[in-house]
Amino acid sequence: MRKQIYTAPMSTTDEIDKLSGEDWMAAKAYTDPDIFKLEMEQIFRRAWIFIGHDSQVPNAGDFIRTRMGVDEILLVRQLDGSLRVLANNCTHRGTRLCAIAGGNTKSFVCPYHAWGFALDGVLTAVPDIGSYPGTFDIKDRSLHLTSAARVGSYRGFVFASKVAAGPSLSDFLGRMTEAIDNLIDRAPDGKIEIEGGHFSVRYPGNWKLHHENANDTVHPGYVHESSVTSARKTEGGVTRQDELVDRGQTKGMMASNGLTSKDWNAIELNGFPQGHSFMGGFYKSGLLAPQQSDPVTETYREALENTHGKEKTAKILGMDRFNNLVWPNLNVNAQFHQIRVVHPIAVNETIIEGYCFRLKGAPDEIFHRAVRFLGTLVSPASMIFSDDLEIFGRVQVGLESGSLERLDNRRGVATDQKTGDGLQSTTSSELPLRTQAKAWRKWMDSKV
Amino acid sequence: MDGLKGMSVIEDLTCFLAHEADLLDQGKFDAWLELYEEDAIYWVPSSAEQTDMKGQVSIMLEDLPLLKLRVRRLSHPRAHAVTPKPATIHLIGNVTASEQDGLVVANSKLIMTQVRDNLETSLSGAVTHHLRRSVDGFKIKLKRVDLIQAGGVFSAISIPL
Repeated sequence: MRKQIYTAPMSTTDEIDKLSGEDWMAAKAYTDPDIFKLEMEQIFRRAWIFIGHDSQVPNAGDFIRTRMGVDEILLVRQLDGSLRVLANNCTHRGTRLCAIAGGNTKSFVCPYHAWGFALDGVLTAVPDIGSYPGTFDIKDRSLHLTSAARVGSYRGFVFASKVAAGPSLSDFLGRMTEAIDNLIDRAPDGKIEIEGGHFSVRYPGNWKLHHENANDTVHPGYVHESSVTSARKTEGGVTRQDELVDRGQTKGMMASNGLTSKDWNAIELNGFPQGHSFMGGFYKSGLLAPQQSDPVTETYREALENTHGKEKTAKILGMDRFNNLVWPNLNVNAQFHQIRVVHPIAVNETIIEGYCFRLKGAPDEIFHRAVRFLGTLVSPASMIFSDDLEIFGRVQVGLESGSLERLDNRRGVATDQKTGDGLQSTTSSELPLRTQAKAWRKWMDSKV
Repeated sequence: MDGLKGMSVIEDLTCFLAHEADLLDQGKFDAWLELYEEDAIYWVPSSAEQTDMKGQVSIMLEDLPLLKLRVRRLSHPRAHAVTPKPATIHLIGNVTASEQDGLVVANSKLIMTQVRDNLETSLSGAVTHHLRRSVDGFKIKLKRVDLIQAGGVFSAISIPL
């Protein structure tokens, strides 16, 4: 028999209100394994969770193995071109079905007793089926691989929810579709593909810490000071090999974190009721600045103008935003053709995956810059990200071993401005944290 | 590619690689950089099959100015990821050598164990050095480290391999 679906203890509004308020989160929410279990049940099973991109599974039978919360899943392209998200464990003995990262297949066959499942998760083969009692029916749906109730795609960005009821993907994403649209608009052929490899980096801290940090505009001046100062003090940067390595891009990215607090304050932050937020760009000069002009960028701009015309191209390339955080587990950096995905592993352990895109129709060098961006920012050896990871670990240790009861999210609370259904700030506000906390309270409440 | 089998070449290379490893373990990063040519490349690919430096992401792909930047950061008082400083042992062995385009190519195996804040981690890989003979031994033109962990899940790496 299949196991009962895990049922977390009921969470009531009263209980959730003890864990988070408008401008605070309880330390327990980052350290208590029971709350983590509840998050996996309430958020990572019910909300729209980013799974992958169309280009990772282009053909029928293509699949990748990834995660939806703590559960391993397979994203599988069906014969009819649709997508399914299947549990990666056999319904016989629970064995992990697929141990490779991805590939193309006609079926999934369990390595233990060779139960075979079709691409849609239907059980099609059970060796020695004659030995089973009459009550055993291969067509029994509970013997199929569990399939996520809803799989939705917004222009190739695939999300899933394990429950049938809830907001539509479009309502869930709200204005964050602007970031996905902008990323695709940046491709002269209107198509983007994940390419160039990826990174998986582990940090010893709670999953929420990543998104809480990504649109925080005060930490760079302190957390990244060592890379800013070192980049500024290092001369040259153009050797014979520089063309091969990165034409100053890495140094520029590191130095860019060294804005004055006045300049950081000027960066616009926007938050939305769904928990999402985005911050304006902060690359003011160098290879990656929006106003950059060099032969490669000019060729690229011309290709875009052929598709969109001058005016729209200027608008597309002029959308100067850095992290577009889709709560709870995706970060789209449209301007630099990147995404990061957050995988909670345990209450105090998280894996971040980083990918970059090739914009179809753009010069190869534009893709190479995206590859370099990924390496500079998300490699485990990144001189920038490794300091963020260190801080996440220190917050976790501090919360687990310290006496702090509440994390303070009040910065900027008095100066946030209402805009549409969201909030806006130009005061280095902790608005993104409050936005995330609000969505967290909403989804953690069982009754909603 | 001609195999270099003479004991003295292997001994010289082993001494050189052990010296490089020792400089890293002792935190003498400036001296470590002096082993590199002006146009050197230091490369830790993201997969063992990788030949493409531009279209495929690398764990580290650095020229000398970037290596200098990395080393400069390691000694910054507020480089949080290395405060406290990790203790490392870079153990090299299985050294073989050949000659290619006038350069000595040394192949070796590396195990790097790191301890920091009571947490022990280890990385292992196959290392290729392309070396130019110089008056005082060898200079590194290319160092490539193919980690067996490549493609998997990593914790932050701060001390060079």
